[in-house]
Amino acid sequence: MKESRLSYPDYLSVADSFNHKGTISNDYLTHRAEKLAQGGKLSAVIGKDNLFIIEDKDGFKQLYFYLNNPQEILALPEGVITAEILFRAGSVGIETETDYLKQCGMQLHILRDNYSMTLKTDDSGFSRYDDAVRDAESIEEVACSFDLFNRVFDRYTGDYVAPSFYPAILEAKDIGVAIDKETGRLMGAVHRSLEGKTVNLSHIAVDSDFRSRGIGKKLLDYFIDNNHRLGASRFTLWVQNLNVIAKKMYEDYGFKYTNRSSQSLIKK
Amino acid sequence: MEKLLELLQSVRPDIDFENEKSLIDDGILDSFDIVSIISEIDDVFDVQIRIAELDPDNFNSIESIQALIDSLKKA
Repeated sequence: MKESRLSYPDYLSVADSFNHKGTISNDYLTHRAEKLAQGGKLSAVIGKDNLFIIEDKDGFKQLYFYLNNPQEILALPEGVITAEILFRAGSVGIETETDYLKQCGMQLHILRDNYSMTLKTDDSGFSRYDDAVRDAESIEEVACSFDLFNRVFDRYTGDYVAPSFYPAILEAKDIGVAIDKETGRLMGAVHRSLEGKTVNLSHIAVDSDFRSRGIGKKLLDYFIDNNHRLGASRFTLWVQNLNVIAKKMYEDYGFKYTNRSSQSLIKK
Repeated sequence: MEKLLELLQSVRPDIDFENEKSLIDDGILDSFDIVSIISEIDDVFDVQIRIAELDPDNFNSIESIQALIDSLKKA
């Protein structure tokens, strides 16, 4: 069963043919599939009962599956492969999916939890923002920010951002930076992505040389207050399940666990 | 629409489905929610929503989701 490129009509056809009542799937491609297929970034490994849809990313591949028969093991493509299984805490477990992917050659990787907060439009209680954090003003500051994120976060999980996107991110003012006034060094950065009235905290990190100075809180202040003043009312983020310090900080701000989590798996 | 409302609230109890009219456009529902909702709709209403029907316009409000279900039941 070899990997084969998919056009968008191919994707629709093959996904539907493996999608029955009772099929277990993590196909969250939905609106992105057409653009990915047009860019030649979608392929498939097609079995008799099971299907892998593969998305080409920058230096690795992300796997989406349609699982009807856990006995039929499909071969994974070469290279680094990741998969994410989103689930609701307290609902049916994901052991069938994780056991199957382990048999295919993957191993458990990072578990993350989803938090959100809603602010009313006239809520003025969050004006804690001071000028310690500002919008990134140059491509260099955006690049430094992502260099920091890439050092702090796992390269293959969550939202890795390729350098080709940096100009658009700069123009949209999606990065906030905290700069050390004495040295000009980047102390920390926060990256948002905006969807209507919902703002996602895509990345937030503080350089190890500047920790324990409250920089993380200032970045979060900037993220919440700046976006709230611009009209956003819902704030969401993903945080590693084991990162109890970060979770406490978010909960202190009013973020609540949404009962949604994500288990990633990886084959290196 | 009561049955659909109950279904949606079981997936996302934090959302006011009766008043939100831009569930997708405002980023209130994401692709994980859509997949979860479709799975529940398939079970509760005994319809099969095909991948091609995952048009964001179909999921922007409880009314549009109900309209999609109704059209599938007639087909």
